[in-house]
Amino acid sequence: MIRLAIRTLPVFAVIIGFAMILAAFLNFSGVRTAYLDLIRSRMAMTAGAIATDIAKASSLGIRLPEQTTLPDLLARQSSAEPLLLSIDVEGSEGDILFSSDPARTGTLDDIAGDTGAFRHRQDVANDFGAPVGAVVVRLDRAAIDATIDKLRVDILTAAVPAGLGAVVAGCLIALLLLTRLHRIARRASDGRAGAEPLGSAEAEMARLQTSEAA
Amino acid sequence: MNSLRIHLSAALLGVLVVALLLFSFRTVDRAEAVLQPEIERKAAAVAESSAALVGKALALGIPLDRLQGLGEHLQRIVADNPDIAFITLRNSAGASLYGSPAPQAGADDAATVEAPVAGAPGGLSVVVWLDPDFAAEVVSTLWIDLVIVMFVTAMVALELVYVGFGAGLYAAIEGVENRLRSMRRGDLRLHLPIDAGGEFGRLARSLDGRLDRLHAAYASLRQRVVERGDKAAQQALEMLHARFGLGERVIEAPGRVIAVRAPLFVFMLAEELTRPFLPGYIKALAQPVPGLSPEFVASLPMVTFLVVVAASQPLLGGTTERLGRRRALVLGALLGVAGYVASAFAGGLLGLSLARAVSGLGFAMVFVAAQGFVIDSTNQRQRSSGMAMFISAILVAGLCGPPIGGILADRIGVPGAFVVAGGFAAVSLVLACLCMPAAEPQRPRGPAIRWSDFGRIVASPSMAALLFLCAMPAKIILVAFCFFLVPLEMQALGASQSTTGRMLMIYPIAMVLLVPTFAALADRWDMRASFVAGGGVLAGSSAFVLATASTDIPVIGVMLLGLGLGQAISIAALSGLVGDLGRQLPAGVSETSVYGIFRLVERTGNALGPLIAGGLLGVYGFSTTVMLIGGATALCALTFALTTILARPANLELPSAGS
Repeated sequence: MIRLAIRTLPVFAVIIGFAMILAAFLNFSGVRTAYLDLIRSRMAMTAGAIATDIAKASSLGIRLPEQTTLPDLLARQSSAEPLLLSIDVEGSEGDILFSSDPARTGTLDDIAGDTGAFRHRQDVANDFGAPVGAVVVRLDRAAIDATIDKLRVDILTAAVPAGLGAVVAGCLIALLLLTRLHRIARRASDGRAGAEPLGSAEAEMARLQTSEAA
Repeated sequence: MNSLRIHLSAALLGVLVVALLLFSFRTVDRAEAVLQPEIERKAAAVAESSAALVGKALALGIPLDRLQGLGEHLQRIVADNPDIAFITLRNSAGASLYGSPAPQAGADDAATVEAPVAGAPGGLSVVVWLDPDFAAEVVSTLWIDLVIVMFVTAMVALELVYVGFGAGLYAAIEGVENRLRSMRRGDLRLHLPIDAGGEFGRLARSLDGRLDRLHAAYASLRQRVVERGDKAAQQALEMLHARFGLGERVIEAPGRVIAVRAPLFVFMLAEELTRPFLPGYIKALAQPVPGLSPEFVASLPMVTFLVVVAASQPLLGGTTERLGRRRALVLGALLGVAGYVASAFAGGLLGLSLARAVSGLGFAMVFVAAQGFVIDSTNQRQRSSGMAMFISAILVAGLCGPPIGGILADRIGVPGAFVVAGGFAAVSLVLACLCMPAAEPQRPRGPAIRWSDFGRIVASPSMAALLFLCAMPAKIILVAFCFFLVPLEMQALGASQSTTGRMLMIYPIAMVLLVPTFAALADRWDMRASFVAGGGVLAGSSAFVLATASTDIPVIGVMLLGLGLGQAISIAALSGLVGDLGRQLPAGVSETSVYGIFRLVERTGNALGPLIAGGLLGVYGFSTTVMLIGGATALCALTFALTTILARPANLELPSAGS
C-alpha cells in the first residue's frame, strides 16, 4: 500500500493543482476586471463631462482653442483623482491645447510612447459630426499595476494553502477508497466475506460433487 | 461505469468545492479591499457630475420643481452602474426631490457620498448610496465559471486517473473491483486475466483462482453427469449455470484498449474547446466577398475542416496501419498542434481555412488511429465494449470542452484559447507516447470501404432511406445548430463566450445521460425504426420553439435540449438499424463496408451542415434558418417512417440484433 500511496499522491496533486490554479486565475481575473472596469468607468465619466462642455461651447460658435475656461475645469476635475497624471484636451491634429499638467500643454500626444499611462480617450464632434478634438484622461499605470500585483499575490497566498489542503485531503480520500477496496478484495480472495454468492456456489458445487460421488 | 472511478471523482469534486469555498471567501475580502476605494471615488465622480448638471440647469433659470428628466437620468445611472445602489437629489431637510425616493431596507448601513449643488439655494445636494454587496457579487458571478471548472476537473480526473497510476496498476485495481462487483451480483463468469504485478494484481489472480477452481469443478462434474446420463444432476447443474454463469466468460475489452483513451480524450478536448468561439472568430476575420453573405463566408473555414475530415477518414485507415497506430496518432496530434497554433495567428480567412484544414487532417488521423487501435486490440466479441470506451471518451470531451473554451476565450481572448487548444493537442501527443504500446507497423489490409458495394447498398430503398433521410440530416442539424448557428446567435445576443460554452453543454449532457437508456429500450422493445423516426421528428421539431417565443437564450437552450433528446432517442437505434438492414443486403456486401459507407454519409452530413446553415442564415436570419433546417429534418424522418411502413410488408423486416 505504500507503493500505492506514492502513486496516488502525484496523480491527485496534479489534478487538484491544475483545478486550483484555474480557479485562482478565474478569481484573480474576475476581481481585476471589476477593478479596471471601475477605473475605466470613472475615467469615462470625467472625460464625458468635459467633452459635453466642449461640444456645447463649440455649438455656440466658440472654437476649441478659444475655450479659455477649460484650464479651470481641468484643474477642478483633476483635484479629486489621486491616480491622475493629466487630463488633456487635444485639437483635431493631436496637439495638446489644454492640460491639467502644464508641461504637456503645446506638445503632441505621443500615444505609442506613453507607456506609463493608463489612458482613456473621448473624441469630441460638433453638431455636424465633424471632429473638434478629444479629451484624454491619463492615470498612473504603475500605481494601477501595483494594486493588481498585490491582488495577484494575495489571491495566490490564499490559493496555495487551500490547494495544498485539497491535495492532502484528496490523496487521503483516494487512499482510503483504495484501501477499502483492497481489504474487501483480500477478504473475498481468502474466502472470508465480500463474495457470498461465490461461497454459496462453491458450497452447492461441493454438495453436488458429494452426491455424485455417492 | 466503474464505481471506483465515480467514487474517486466524487471525492475529488467534494474536496475541490470545499477548498474553493474557503479560498473564495478570502477572495471576497481582498476584492472588497481593492474595489471599495475605487467604488467610492467613482461614486464621488457620479455625485459631482450630477450636482454640476443640476447646478447648470438652475443657473439657466429652470425652477427646481421643473427639472424635467432628472429623475429618469438618476435612475439610469443606477441601472448602468451595479456598484451604485441609490442616487437622489435632496434638500437640506433630507427630503428626496428626484431619483430614488428613499434608501430601501438594509441600505442604511451602506456608505454614502454627497456632493453639494454649487450656487443652489437651500443646501441642495446629490447623494449616492454605494452597494455594500458589490464586491461579494463580483466574486459570486464567478461561481458559475468556478463550478464548471470543478465539474470539468472531476470529469478530466475520471478520464485520466489511470495515467497517473500507470495502465498496469490501474487495470489491476479496476479488474479487482469488476470481479468483486460481479461476484456480489452473483455473476461468477470468468474474467480476462490480469497481467499486472503488485498487490492488486495478486488479489485479482487470487480471485480468479477461486473462480477457476469453481469452473473446473463445474466442467468436470458436468462431463461426468452427461456421460452417465443423470438428468436430475444435469438439471441441477443447468440451474447453477443459469444462476451464476458457470462455464462462461465475461465479454470485456482487454486492458490494453484503455491506453488510447487519454490521448484521444485530450485531443478531442482540444477541438471541442473551439466550439463556442470559432464561428464568431471566423466572422470577425472574414472580408466581404461579392455575391456571398458574411454568414456564408463565415461557414467556409468550418466546411474546410469538415470536408478534410470526411474525405480523409476513409483513406487514413490503411495509412495508420502502415505507420502503426501510435505513430499515426502522434503525427495527427502534431498536425493538430500546428493547425491550432496557426489558427491563433491567422490574419485572414484564407490563412484560417488552411490552418483549419491542417487541424482537420490531424483530427481525422487521431480519430482513425484511435479507432484502429481499439479494433486491433479487440476481437469481434469484445469490439462493442472497446468502441463504447472510444465513444465515451469523445462524448465526455464534447461535454467538457465548450464551457472551458468559452471561459478561456473570455479571459485570454480567442487567439490565446487557440494556443491552449494547441497545448492540449501537444499533451495528447505526449500521452500517446507514454501510454500507447509501440506496435509494429502492419501491412495494409486494403480500404475499409469497397466502393463497388456503394451501389448495392444505396440500391436498397430501406437502406437508402435510412442513410439519406435519417443519418445525413441528423448530422446536418447537429453541426448546423450546435457548431455554427447557436454560437453566432449567442454572440449576436451579446452573450459571453462562457455563456455560449455552457449552452453547448446541453446537447452532450442529454446524450451522455440518455443514450444508454434509449439504446436499451429500442433493443428491448424491438422498435429501432420507430426510435429512429421518432427521434428525428423530435430533434427537427425542437427548432419550432423559436416560432412560439422570441429568440432569447433560454429559448435556444430549450431548442438544444429538444435536439439532444431527439438524437439521444435515435442515435443508437440508427447505428443498430444499419447493421440490421446490412444483413439483408445481397451476399458479399460486408458489414465493414456497410458501416464504412454509413460513416461516410454521416461525415458528408457534417460537412454540409455549416454550408447549408451559412447559406440560409445570410438570406433568412437565425429563426427562419433554424426552422427550415429543423422542419426539413423532421420531414425526412417522417418520410423514412412512411417508407418503413410501406416497405415492411414486401421486404423490410427489422429484427433486432438478438433475434
